[in-house]
Amino acid sequence: MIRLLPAKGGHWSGALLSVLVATVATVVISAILLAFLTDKPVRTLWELLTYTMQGGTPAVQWGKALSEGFYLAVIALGLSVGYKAGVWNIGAEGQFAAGAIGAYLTWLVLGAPVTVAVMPFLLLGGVLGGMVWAAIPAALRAHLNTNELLVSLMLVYVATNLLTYLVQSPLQGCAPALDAAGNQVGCIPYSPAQSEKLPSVLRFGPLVFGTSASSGASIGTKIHSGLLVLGGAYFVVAAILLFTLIGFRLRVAQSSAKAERFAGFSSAVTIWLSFMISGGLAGLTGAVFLMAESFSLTVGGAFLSNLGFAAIVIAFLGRLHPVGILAAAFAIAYINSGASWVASQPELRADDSVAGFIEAIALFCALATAALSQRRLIWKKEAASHG
Amino acid sequence: MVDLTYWLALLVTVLNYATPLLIAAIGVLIVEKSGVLNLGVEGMMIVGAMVGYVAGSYLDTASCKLMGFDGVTCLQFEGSLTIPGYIAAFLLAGVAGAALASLFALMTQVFNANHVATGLGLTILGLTLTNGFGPDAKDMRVESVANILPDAWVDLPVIGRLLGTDLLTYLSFAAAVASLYFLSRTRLGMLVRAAGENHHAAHAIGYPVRLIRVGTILFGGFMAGIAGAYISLVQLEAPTWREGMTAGAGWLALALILFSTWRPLRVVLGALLFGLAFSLELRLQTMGWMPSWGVQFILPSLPYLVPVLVLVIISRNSAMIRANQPGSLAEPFSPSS
Amino acid sequence: MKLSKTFATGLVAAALTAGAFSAQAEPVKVGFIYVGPIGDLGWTYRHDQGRLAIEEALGDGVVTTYKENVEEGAAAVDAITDMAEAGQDIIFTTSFGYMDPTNQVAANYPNVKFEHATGFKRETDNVSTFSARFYEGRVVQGLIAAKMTKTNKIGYIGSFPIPEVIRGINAFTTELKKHNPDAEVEIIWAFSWFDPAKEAAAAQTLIDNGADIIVQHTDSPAAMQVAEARGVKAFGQASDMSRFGPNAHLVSIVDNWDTYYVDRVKAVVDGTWSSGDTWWGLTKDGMGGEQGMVQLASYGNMPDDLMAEAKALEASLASGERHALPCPINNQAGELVKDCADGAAHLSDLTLVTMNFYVEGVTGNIPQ
Repeated sequence: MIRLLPAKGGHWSGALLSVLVATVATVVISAILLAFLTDKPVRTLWELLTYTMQGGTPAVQWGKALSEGFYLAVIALGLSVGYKAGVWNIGAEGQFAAGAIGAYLTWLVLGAPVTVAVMPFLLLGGVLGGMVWAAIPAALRAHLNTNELLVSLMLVYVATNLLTYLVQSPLQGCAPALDAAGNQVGCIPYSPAQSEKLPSVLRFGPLVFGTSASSGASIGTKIHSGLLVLGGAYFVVAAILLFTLIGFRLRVAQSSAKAERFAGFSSAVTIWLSFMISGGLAGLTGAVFLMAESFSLTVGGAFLSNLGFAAIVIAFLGRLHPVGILAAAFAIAYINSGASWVASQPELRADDSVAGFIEAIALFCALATAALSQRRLIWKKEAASHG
Repeated sequence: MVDLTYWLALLVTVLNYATPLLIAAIGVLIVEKSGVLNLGVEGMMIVGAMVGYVAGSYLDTASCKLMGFDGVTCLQFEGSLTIPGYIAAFLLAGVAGAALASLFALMTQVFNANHVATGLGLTILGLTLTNGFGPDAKDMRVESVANILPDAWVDLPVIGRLLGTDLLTYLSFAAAVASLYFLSRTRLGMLVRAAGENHHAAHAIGYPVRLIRVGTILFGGFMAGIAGAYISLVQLEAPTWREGMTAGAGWLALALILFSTWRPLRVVLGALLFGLAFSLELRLQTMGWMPSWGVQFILPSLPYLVPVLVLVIISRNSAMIRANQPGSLAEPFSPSS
Repeated sequence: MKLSKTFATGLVAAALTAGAFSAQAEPVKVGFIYVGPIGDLGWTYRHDQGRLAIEEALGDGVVTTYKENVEEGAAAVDAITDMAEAGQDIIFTTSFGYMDPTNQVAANYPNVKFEHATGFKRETDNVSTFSARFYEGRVVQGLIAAKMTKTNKIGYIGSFPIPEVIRGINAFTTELKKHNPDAEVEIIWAFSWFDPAKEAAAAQTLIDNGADIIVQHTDSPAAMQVAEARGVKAFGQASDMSRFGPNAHLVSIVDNWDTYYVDRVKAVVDGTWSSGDTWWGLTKDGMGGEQGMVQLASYGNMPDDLMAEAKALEASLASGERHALPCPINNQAGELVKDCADGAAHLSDLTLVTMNFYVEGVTGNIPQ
């Protein structure tokens, strides 16, 4: 018979079992809830899972799911470093915004050049922007003992307001108003406010194009070249965490003094490293999002779409492990864009918060089964169990 | 420019913003004193806000119909919230908050899940539950909330505004004093503190640590639910529901506890301070002397910057924090280990 | 008898509908993108009423869908793309902030029609724009406020400092000052179209500062409810908000998109749809013709003679006898505005579309 034995430090069989149990539980609970929430649960679930095969241009749907998966994975990977060590950065949303601001300001500081060569600097500006914003809770925690969880969260609201202020005042852009003859006679500010757009050479363009079934038009998908940057960043950071000494130290580090000698560096260093990695990756994602999707900074509420908060869930769903995070990010992203597809179907019109719901259920299932991964699954004969 | 009416109006606004923070924070205080860290306050508050609003909109009409009157007669109750309806709406909101908290209790006390992760999950769950599944405002109308004092008092010039403050504002201040008494003078309060200070010792003496904690967690959820309903039913004078309308108030309640270093009367002080930060935004905008970065960036950020600043000041004195911080805060506990 | 007559009418209607659409095998699919919830009881609610008007007018010939609470940024591109991918024939995007997303998606889907509310960009020939002359209603409100205020202080809640809102402030204040030179307008910017908490807080602050009349250019009824609770007067916006302020409500500016929406969808059915720009006021032509996109609803809580005066003013605006902003109009510095200096009878549409200055009588500066 199958038995579960405690396994200090975890064991792959227990981890696999916990993921399996959590997944099955999530699917079952979600299906039951869908049955209550929609008129046509079977049809809704079907569309939710197969939307990439529906619609006029399948590649467009894949693009939505894949790009969101990359954003979530990269932010969540950064957060997982701190979470392992008990450093609670829950303000990735603000660091994402700061990254976009950093990238845009870098472009302006360089004199708003219109050349591809400047793109790396924008990305660097994004990383720095995220790091600067993350440095506030890091410094306050490491040197003034202030609760980093609350400070990082409060700074999300502040970053949102900063973004809003920047585009409403110093960086405000406007759209040219033309008279009947086509002459520009004025400039109408955008509302909600936004900055001038980045020139098209500075944008990450689509790598994959889909062909519309109805019109035959070629449509650029959201599988864009910026995803290569994010994929590369993910690979590098994940490799450092998994295969290098500093990565090992980070994985066993704790922000408490007790664990200090174990990891080999002080709690202050752990806090700083955690925040710089998570802030930097969130900032990079913000810069890529700016250069691939939004092109301009817009008021906080319109620019931010909860990626920074959703990534917290992804980090836990992925059990704070680089491989798990990647899987969780793409699974959740797939469901998210599926839900938004379902929401546009006239006969279904299920609200797309269904996705958030499934996400929360998955999180609770994952947390409830977390204890299982600290066990070892073994196959034993009945008689042996007495011994 | 020294105008008594103006300053009284400001005071009323400060009290108005402080009340839900105070109510939620008293719940957080008791929960943390028992050694549990529940970061799901924001989630429980938003659920309370929604449930309180829906209950407030329907209760009086519904109970009228239950009593056998026809729909036309009951129409007169639409849009007015009587005192029994008011109490029932708040109780239901509290129960809704406690229901969400019971999930937290299940996860942390039965499955021994991580407090921080579960609390964050609870906040996300609460925001999700109310997002999109929230009520449609076009079917909702609650126009007046109960006022316990006679109308003649409330209509008095100048002082009337202050007397017209909602009953819950008075109760929240009383609750702060009561929580001090509860924790320091009652046997149950002593049990709560024992569970929080050292759960192994408390367990060894034979105290039901898990039971105590489940109790405080449910109480915390109940208070958060009521605080949420205050925001949707009372705070805006016009009962209103909007997704995400608690706008971080749950997190501010958690910040208040750190600020107060787990002492009830300091929670009151902190709530008033945070309430002032909220009240200043639009008032300073209308004064017109602020530059645009002040109006558009600093003023809206005040309610979040002020807590950060006070936390920095408080946190520097770690001795004071250690004196009152529950020793087993957020540590997982299973009786067998 | 009565029953059978209704039945017969129904049959005729059904036959007509069937006849009208027999050429079209598939019903026309219409999608809507909303910036707020339908339950905002203001802006989005009125657009949804327009959607229902389409369903009523075209019956089985049409299938409509909508998506609420779509943020005006990159998220809008996804939402509009989903609508196009799901096979909608015409998509209404109902907020100014959808301007670039609408044009961006339209370029990808040449055989889908796009209708963008309150915008002016039509980059491809499958995009139309439309808007309403809400400021005509502000003139009537200015007159009423001038004669109703006792404290001579009016509180004005603005959403964003953009031409549409500034036009309203200018039209309101010009008329207000004409009838009551002592009245002052205090403006609070909510920096949001729909944020009941902020709108209510703004109304509270304005009343605390002494205002006894509240004007709003935001979408929720929260300010009206606060006015009712505090015993002051207020104007409704976008929808008829009289039921939120039985004792406070003076008159609401109501958006009416029904006719335009039905016309445009019918044009898709007929194959006569073409790109263009439409700007209707109280009437379609501004000269006493058919009902336009702006209505004034539920006059109340004012003396009868004032109500009669206000209605007469509304009639003269509708007939074109009177323009909302007739010359002479000065800017804040007291100089004649360019149109007027050039000898025009009133401000031109171009000046109105691009309006980024306050007229004389408005105090303070436009936030920069």
